[in-house]
Amino acid sequence: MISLLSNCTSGGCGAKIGPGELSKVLSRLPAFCDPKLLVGFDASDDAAVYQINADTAIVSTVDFFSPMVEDPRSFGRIAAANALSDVYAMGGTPLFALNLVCYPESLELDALGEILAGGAEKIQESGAVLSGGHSIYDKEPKYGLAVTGRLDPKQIWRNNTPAPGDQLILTKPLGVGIIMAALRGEMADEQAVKAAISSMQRLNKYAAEKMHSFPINACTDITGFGLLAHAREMTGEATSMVLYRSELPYIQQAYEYAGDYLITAAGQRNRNHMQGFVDLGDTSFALQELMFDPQTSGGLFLSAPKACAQELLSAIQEVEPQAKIVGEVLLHQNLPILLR
Amino acid sequence: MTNIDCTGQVCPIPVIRTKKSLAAMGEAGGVVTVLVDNDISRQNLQKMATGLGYQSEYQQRDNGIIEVTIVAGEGCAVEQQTIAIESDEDSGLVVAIGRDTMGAGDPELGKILIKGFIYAVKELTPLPTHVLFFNSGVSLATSESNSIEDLRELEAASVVVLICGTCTNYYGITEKIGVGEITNMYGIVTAMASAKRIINI
Amino acid sequence: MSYILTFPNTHAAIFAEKALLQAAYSVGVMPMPSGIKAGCGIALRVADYIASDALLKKNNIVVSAVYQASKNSQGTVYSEVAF
Repeated sequence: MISLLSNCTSGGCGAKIGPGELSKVLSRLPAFCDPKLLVGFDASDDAAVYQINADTAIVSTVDFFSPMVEDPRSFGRIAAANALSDVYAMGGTPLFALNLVCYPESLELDALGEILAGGAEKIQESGAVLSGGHSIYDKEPKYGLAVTGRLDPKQIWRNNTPAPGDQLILTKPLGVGIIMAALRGEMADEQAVKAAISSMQRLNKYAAEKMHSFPINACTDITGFGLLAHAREMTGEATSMVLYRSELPYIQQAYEYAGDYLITAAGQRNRNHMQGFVDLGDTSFALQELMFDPQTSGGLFLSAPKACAQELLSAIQEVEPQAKIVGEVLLHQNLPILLR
Repeated sequence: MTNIDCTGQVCPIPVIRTKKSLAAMGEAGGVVTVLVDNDISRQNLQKMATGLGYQSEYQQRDNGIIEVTIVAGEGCAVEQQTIAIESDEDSGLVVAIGRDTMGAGDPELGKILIKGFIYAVKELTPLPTHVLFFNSGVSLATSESNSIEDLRELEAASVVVLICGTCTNYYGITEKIGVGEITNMYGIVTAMASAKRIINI
Repeated sequence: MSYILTFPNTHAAIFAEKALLQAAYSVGVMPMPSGIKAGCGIALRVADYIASDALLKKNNIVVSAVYQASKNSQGTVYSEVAF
């Protein structure tokens, strides 16, 4: 019996390098200038966008991590859904994907086959084609994809261009990080784990398809940095946003587990990073943890004009029933994020 | 007293193990010492201790090991602790830092002096009630400043750290502030007016 | 940051801080603790004294002594690290 998890010190997007540390290192790299690079890493957006001609741009992204679930096929599906998500978050359509694999010499190859099969399922579902990959031996198993997609350069969903008066929609429930932490601590119930895995495996494709019939001012996907860090990133310099605490969707058990302190290191890193950007006020501890919770293959977080937000929400709810309007965009205030 | 060695373990395991052994002590309470090898685990343990109403403290040991001590049981509730602190007379001392150097002279020297000054403030007993930053002083409170850890420790010890928002805005570093609360001139004036003594830098 | 570096003079301390910051080493400043005799009035706190010392040597900055801080019931004690 192999154990994927026991080979890993931390898994999923919770293993991401903290946003603060990362930006310190990135800021030392030279700035590359090419007018065709419409979105580069200096924008800390979800994926890079490079213009080919007036109507076509390619969107390119890479993502991989170590397992956060025991079942290799589920892990493959989650890692692929997570990698593909960046393309959807930019408003693009995936075209082809390459496998990235790190795998211990000591583990059975059967499990690797399962991981790749899970990933292939999701690539198929996305409509893209699997076109190759790269694999090396490593102490900890890791899997992910490099994905290339197509995008209309006039309709890029950037992550930091919301307009005051917009409403904000979150398409998937929060809490998968906490539930996976509870699973590591052998304290998660089966139903909660099922809900979390099914949420992480679900492609953001379907929500994105609904969004294409509406004007979208900004969009990103929630990752290991947690909801609040992405919300702050979205506000940019020009706006602030208010989040409706009572409207945030989350997996029910995650709230209980957070109250029992089944919390992650990444959640605490996210909390430290957000110091001074949000006044948590009297928000319950559990809800705070959910807002900081690192999401693996999280939902889309988008900003759309208020006039069509309700209609857009109804459309998204056909494919993501737990989607909610979770806040609105304001003119710049003294803090980027306010809670109501 | 229970000792738990959580070195090499990642959250939530240290928190779960600590919570279990606290629970096993029942009403009588007791002391749990936990060894962890990273500061995030320490923060999560203390977050849990505070949430459950226990006192906690920590000490840095060799090789990056941190020892967290949590005291549970009667007389240790945080509410009682706060009352105790409130009955202690506070220092009434406010430290106002309006520049990123200390004293007149070579700015190179002034820059290193002020960092030493902030460290020394942290060692004061009793601690000041407030540390205020305005004008170029605000750069000391950014996450790029290497005084940030000292300031965070002050804040963790209940010292109110206030940063002038107008100033961070003017210098374009609001996003980089890594400690304290952003405030306006009223916040600064109120803190100064309620001080018994002020150190002005 | 449990190691403390002392320097023959303040200029050296200033250069050392700059060099360490530039190399993105974790470094803090503190006034010379009263328990330490050797060195000027400014000391630096570092996490990794071996790497820090190597970097400073490369920059021709001389470290007077390295101390390790530990707390006991009487307060903080500084013991010199031989290296």
